[in-house]
Amino acid sequence: MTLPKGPSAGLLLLIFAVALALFFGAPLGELAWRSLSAADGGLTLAHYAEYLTSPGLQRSLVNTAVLGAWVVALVTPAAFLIAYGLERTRLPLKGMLASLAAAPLLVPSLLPALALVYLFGRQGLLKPMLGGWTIYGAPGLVIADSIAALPHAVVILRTALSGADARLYEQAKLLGASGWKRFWTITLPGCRHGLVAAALVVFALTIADVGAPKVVGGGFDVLALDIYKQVIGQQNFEMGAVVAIMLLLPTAAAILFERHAASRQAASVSAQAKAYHPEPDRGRDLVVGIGCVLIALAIAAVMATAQLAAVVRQWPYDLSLTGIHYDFDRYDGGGWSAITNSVMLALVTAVVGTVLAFVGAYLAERSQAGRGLKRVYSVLALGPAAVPGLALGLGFALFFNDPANPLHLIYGTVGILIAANVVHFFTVAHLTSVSMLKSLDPAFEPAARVLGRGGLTLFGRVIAPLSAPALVEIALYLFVNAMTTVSVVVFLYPPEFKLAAVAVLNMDDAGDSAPAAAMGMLILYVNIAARIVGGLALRRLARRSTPVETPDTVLAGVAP
Amino acid sequence: MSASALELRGLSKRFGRTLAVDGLNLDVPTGSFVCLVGPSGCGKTTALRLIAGLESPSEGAILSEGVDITRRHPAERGLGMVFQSYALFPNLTVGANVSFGLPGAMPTAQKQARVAELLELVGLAAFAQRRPADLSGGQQQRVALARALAPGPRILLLDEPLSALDPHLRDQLRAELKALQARLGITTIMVTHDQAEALALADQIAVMRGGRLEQVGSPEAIYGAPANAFVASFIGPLNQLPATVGEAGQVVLANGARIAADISGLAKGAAVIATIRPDAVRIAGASDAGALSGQVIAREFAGASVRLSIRLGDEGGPVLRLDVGADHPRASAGLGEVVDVALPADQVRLFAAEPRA
Ligand SMILES: Nc1ncnc2c1ncn2[C@@H]1O[C@H](COP(=O)(O)OP(=O)(O)O)[C@@H](O)[C@H]1O
Ligand SMILES: [Mg+2]
Repeated sequence: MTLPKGPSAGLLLLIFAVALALFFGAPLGELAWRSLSAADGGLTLAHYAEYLTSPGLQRSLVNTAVLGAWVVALVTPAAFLIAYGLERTRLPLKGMLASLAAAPLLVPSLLPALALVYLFGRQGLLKPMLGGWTIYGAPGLVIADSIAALPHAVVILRTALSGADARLYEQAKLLGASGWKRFWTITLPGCRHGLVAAALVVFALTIADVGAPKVVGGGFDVLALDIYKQVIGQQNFEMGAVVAIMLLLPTAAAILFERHAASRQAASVSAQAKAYHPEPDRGRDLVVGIGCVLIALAIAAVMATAQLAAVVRQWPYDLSLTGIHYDFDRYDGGGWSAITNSVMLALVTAVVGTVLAFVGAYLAERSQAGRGLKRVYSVLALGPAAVPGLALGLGFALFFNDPANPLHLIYGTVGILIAANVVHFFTVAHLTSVSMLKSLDPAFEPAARVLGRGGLTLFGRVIAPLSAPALVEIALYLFVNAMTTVSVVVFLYPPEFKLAAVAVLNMDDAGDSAPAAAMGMLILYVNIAARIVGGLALRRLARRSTPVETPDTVLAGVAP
Repeated sequence: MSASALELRGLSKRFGRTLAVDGLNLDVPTGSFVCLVGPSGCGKTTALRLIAGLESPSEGAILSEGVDITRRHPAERGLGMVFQSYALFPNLTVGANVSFGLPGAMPTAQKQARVAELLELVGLAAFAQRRPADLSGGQQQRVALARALAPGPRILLLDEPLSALDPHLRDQLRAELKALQARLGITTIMVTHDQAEALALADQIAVMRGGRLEQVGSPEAIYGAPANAFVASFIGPLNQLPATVGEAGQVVLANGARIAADISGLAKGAAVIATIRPDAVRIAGASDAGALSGQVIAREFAGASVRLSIRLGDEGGPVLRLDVGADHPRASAGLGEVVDVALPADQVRLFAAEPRA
């Protein structure tokens, strides 16, 4: 019994590659095609011309760039401060700081925007503080998107800062360099790739976000919102496709550049590097600590506001407690079933996505499949991270809605939601699998082959058990993101299968912002519960004391 | 006359533009211990993987007991392999590792008996329930050996099985490995870059360079009668002195000194490399004619002997290394002192000067 030998591994990988092509390449192709197709079926640039000459849409283009730039300028230093606090200081309560900094990952991106409206909006508690200013428009958008993007940048910069080589610092100290000088000559240059990567990812995430613009955008239109309006409001799929392509191009450029830089940096890490342990330094800890506390407080305040608004009768006039906003069935969002639907979808996405990503990565990294096929698959698997959820979702809608498409049967079912979610978050799952698999001895497969044991036995008895911690991480990542994403599912969910994150958007749209906040916070609690369960699973796995370490997760990677 | 356990015929492997293994011809007699040695990157591992069936050759054939096995699945070649990293499965117990390659159809009791037998063989009977990470490097190596032997292979392949170990442990395990191989009488092919290991273990040594075999022979033959300067210098410390063939059984060194050597078959004036091992150079006595003298420029104490480096002639002259017994009066020669040495003609070996790359 020597299953599967070369050919079957190759066949399996071929199926994986074809599936990715069908569920990723084809929808994107359809999107591009529709943006170029004329009414008579021919090719035309008319939609682009129309788009570029429409003053409203032109303004969106500029607004989007301005928004992205502002958020990058705000988030990169803030995230660096937090990452520095976590990795390079002796601050107390690091666990709490890390949790707070990660909290925005666990909620839909429109929740911070919602909270900002509660604080500074027309009936905002703190509105008087703004003087004549208004939160609606660019200021609110910048702040809301900054909060949403911050955790992603923190993860990237923590990775960059944790890779420090203590030997450099020891050498610099021997040469008499001051702490300040060591920071400028070693620390900053050492994580310049991380800084660039963080900036690019933040930019890509921000311009692809549709939640915050919907809630606090005011008249400040951006591309993502335009797509939403064209498709949902005007049913103008061609124009939606044009805008989606306009959004896709800079996003893809940013993410591909980031990946390129990341792979170059991975190659430059010295194998002999010695782990860095920060030494006591009161002054440093005080300065960094104050900054971290301010940022953490801002996040906590936003979350607390959303929770508070959800449980009071009418913010800010009647602050008496009530559970009335949790009676979701009274509002037009999908009711409680939206939550259960979302949990179900997230669970299935987590399981299906983890299995597919891991098996695919295994075949591409360690099987005997052909080299060319492996490379094709690896490149395909990197693609989804470069595509904004709205563009992918619209591509899915266009591609699978076509009755001539044999895969049309998944249109309007939960199946298309699972597929879209798995594809959307596939790259990070794939890369995490790859780095796990790379950390395992490459001689396992040859050893098993000489011993006459097939790939399946080895996979089941050795590879999968050793990779269990990474599998849990991937499943958690998929679950949390499937719970919070709006963009990729907003064009796809069937009318009878409402989703929680979309319900937040729709209820807020309908003026029911308190139930929207309530549901947004529920998503947070579901995700926290998932993280706790995942954490317990990881701890149990660690106690089984497998000597293999989890690789540095690349969960820093992003699917905007 | 039984056929060889293994026979390589014109075996080559090409990776893109690199020719990792280039036309290997090798005969491995049943029950013998063959060492493939050569510098890092010379294609040893690739050769072993070709034999194991983990790579398929670009050209050539592999025969086992006269049967062509070139295209056989690795598991059907009747061989066991120990990898450089050992490739033990860290999540499985030692026992489960050893039984990994036993046929699935084998009854459990029989498997357990086989595992116990093998662990006994490698002296790890008490360790069946441990995990590899709880074992020392030497113990892990023995588990890998037990796992490779479990299915009862006829040939054992070892890829640098000792290189991951501490030097002092290496000598001990070397002896154990040799004893085990002798006891089992199993045909063994071991890859190593350590010539001392090869000399100590092998019945036959095959020296490789750049994918090709340079020489195959017994350790004594390889050490005592190397086929070329590369083999001679790879297999042990060697003085290499550029020289030209002179007259009357002599070669002339760069500084004009003459040394006696067997120049039969060489044209006068031909450029050669005169070689002699440091342990073959003697301190000259009163009776030695044609002794060379040189100034000590370095001195390394090595326990039973002292290695002196002396410069023949003036500044820039050739340097000769010699091993002097620690109890020899001249062993205490200090830097700058002059030492007279003799190079026994039968120990001087001449090789054609290779064009320097
Ligand atoms: N899978 C491979 N792909 C490409 N080149 C390889 C591969 N395996 C080995 N090589 C090359 O073949 C040569 C011989 O390698 P190897 O057999 O590992 O040498 P050794 O074991 O003697 O150190 C090296 O130049 C190496 O880079
Ligand atoms: Mg090797």
